[in-house]
Amino acid sequence: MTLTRAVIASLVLAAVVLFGQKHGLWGVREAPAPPPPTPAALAFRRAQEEAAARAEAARAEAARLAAVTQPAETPEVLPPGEGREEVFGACTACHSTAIIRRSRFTRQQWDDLMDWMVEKQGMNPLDAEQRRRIVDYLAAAFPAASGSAGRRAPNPFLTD
Amino acid sequence: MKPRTGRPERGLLELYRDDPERADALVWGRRGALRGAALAAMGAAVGAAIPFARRMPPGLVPAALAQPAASGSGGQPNLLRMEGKAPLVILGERPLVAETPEHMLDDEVTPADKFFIRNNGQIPEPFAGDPKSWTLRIEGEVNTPLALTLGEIEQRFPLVTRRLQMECGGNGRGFFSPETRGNQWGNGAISCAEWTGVRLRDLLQAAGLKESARFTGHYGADPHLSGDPNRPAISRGMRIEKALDEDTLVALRMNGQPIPHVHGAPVRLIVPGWPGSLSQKWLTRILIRATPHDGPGMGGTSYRVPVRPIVPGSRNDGRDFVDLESMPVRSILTNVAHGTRLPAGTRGLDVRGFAWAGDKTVRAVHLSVDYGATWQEARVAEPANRHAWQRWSGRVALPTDGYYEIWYRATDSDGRMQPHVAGNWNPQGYGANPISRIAVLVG
Repeated sequence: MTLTRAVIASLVLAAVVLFGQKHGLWGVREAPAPPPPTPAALAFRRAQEEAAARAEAARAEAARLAAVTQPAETPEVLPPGEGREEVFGACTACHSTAIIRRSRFTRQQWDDLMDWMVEKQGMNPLDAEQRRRIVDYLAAAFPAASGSAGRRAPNPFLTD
Repeated sequence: MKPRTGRPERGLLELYRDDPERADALVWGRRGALRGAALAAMGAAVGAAIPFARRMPPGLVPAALAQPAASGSGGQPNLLRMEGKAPLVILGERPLVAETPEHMLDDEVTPADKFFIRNNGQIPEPFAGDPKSWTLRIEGEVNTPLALTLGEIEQRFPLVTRRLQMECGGNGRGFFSPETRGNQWGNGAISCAEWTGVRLRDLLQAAGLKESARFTGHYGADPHLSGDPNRPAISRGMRIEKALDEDTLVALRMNGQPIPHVHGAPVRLIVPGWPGSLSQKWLTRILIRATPHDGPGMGGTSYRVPVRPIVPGSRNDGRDFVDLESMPVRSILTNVAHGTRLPAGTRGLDVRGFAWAGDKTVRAVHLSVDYGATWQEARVAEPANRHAWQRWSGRVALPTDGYYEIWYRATDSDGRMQPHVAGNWNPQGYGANPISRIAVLVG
């Protein structure tokens, strides 16, 4: 009698355990598999990833270029002289000093260049006194080089 | 003659740097003959005996001293340090301008990293959108104005791939005397990449040119240097005939790859053989006009040369000038760098390079190692296609040790040669194409 009861109790217990497992009441519960993504969802995700990659590449490229095109220049890059600060301020608003330092012009040519900068390049017009100081400085610091040897390279064969 | 070293030579170099007129007077003397003490001084200045000195033209500054500043001005050149670019010589940082030295241009097809850089404005923010969505407009004297995305352009029009030389209009400017305004280029503002794109004429045919369509005007996305949003950095244009040339491309790829940002991504014009400023980068719009374009970079002395030659150094508003169109004949030497030192006893040197002539071709290249007293002809290959540069090659004999200059001179298909000096001086320095030269030292 006791044995029979025990067997029945075991069977009931087994049935309950199996029923519970089947319906996820206990034991390892398997998550229902998500439905497969639609082709549209896949394309959307890919487009988002590509856009993010392009934006990142654009940021990196802009940073690389900024490192080259925004040299940390101060007026001291120009030779000392009266008017240096004005020249640095007026000219480097638009361009770096490389083109100034490589130029060799007469005072007249430097003066004409101011008109050209205003008319063709959008420079703010200079008042008369400012212009005089700027042109005086440029004509003194970067005078015309006569002949063809004024701004030439050092001799590659003389190294000492 | 034994080269001297030490103080006196430095003195002469310094003299040339500080007071070239006086240096010339000292070295060449009043009669311009280079002999005796003057020859010794010149030999000392270049650091070696000059075997062909008696053939050196009076007043000529040795190539060792006379390379344009781009090759190194008053010390070490400022080299570009940028991912994706070779160490080009920076002529300016803002706007970014960098020259490729001749000896770095030895590739048949110029790789992107060795492509010279010329900007007139700021470099625009890189386009972060899908390149296929970039829109190009064709407007003005057309029957149907177009606004096409690059995706549509690639689908609707045949793609062509061509090797095309593209050269800055100011290439060679540093050879002018007196100095002119602008970047002092040597010969290195030249490239010959392989461009893939659609022909501009196919787009113009799709838009339908009106009878009045005579000129173009080009617009790009690069901001003006001043930051003024209402001012294009540069906007140049050309005669409609050039726009309809089969080699004028709306280019989408460079050497099979997307165009690098600094070279105009995602789309630019390529107008081979004419000043590079026509090859608008970051291209957004082409305006078809009945009259010559009037954007920044047009008119006056910009990209224009005198018809009636003017006095070098004189003032001129350029009213009587004409637009520089097909670029003049020029050559570069690409396998030996200027300033190369060769082992003592070297008696011959293989040399090669490229030559080109705008819309024309190159008929011949000649070499001289005795200052032009004698010339020998180099081999010149056919161009890969129209508007591609041409390979030249040859061998020069170096009879003794000492200082030599290798002169190389191209002749175009009309028989016009590179002249001995940069001629037809103009205020902004266009069209300088004198005989090219490098210096080498044997021993």
